[in-house]
Amino acid sequence: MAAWPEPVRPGIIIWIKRILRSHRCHRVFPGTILALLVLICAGWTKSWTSIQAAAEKIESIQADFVQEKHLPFLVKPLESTGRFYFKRPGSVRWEYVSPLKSILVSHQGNTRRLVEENGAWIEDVGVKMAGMQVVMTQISQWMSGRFTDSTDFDARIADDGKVVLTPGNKALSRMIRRIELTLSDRPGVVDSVKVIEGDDAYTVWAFKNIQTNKPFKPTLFTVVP
Amino acid sequence: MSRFSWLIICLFCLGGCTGIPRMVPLYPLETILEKPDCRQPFAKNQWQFVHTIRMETGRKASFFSGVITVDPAAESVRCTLLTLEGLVLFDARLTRGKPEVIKAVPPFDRPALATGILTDVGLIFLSPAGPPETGRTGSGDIVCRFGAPQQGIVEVVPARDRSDRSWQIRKYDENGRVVREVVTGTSGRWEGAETLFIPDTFTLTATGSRGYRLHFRCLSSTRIGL
Repeated sequence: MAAWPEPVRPGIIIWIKRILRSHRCHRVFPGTILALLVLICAGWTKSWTSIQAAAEKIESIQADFVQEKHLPFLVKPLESTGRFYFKRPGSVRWEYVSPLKSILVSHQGNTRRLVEENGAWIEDVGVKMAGMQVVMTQISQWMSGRFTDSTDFDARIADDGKVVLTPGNKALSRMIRRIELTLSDRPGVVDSVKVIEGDDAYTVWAFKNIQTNKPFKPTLFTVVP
Repeated sequence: MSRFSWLIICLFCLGGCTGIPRMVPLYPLETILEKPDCRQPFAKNQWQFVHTIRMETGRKASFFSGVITVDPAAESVRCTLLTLEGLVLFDARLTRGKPEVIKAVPPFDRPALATGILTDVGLIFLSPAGPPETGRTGSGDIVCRFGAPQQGIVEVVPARDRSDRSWQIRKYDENGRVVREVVTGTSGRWEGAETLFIPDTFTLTATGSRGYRLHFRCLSSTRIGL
């Protein structure tokens, strides 16, 4: 399966060849290099083996994110923003800064969430609920490129290069219809996650300012306010 | 036994009693000349509210996002509870007292819990039916009483004036015990040509041995169906 839709990829190659033959090549040289890099990097989404190989080179990720919740009856989408941290093998810190400050930390199988209210941090027991546990388990697998390891979801690579996860059991399919992960041009990196719950009911997490293999404070996943 | 030991025992006894519904005798209301706006806490048009909700049971707290869509003409309120990460846990509608669950995942899939949530949301957002009895209580509150003592009474305490804009709703069971109490904060904004005060925060307290508290913080309020 290809990372780019087949009709698109040859078009880009022809376009690059034309530019290289062009007498204006020197003017567009940086752009050409970038386009070539995109094509080379896009190869990492071809198969599970290449996806996992690319992900294995990533020890840690940190990024800002915007979360948008869409429901058919909502006047406008619900938007939240925050910062996401991941460290191999399975440490996650999911921090919201608006509209409600909260920190969700998952480390060595222990998941906690604290929510800030009027300057005080309150432990949230709701994080132990079924839906959240499923999500936390999945995130570590996605970030490690181990999409096929999940016992809860069946994974496939779609023609458009997205990874599509479909619930493998009835209980989960009542909550989530499917999950689509858009892989980045940067090997081993996920650009966005879309969790589809039903017709016009979905949540999108779009990541930006993504940094890989940048050292963290050692206490990031263990110390919460 | 030292006096401190007695104090600790007394505190434990008092603590044990906090779960018992408060008995507030419904004394006859003192007649007043002014007519309070008994529907003042309730939207008269279609609105959609988005809140963060903190649910407290004992010392434990859970947080949710909540979307409440009110349609007073249809006597309908739709309540959608989501995790902070956006997953829908509960989506249900109460129309003319009839609950309809659209989606519910554990633990919200228990019918009694679904009905309980919808009844609470209906108490806060839908005006009680029937003409109220109005008057002044012994404590000086001007109140509106809906319903009959045999079936339970809903008492609405509208905002006193522009300076004290908070309102309250109390629900009594057939024995005159307060089973639900809604108290708003004083900050918020006026809408609908200053006929509807939307508080920034309010708290619903459910009394009894399985009591809980729901703290609502309003993130957005939007008039719909225009």
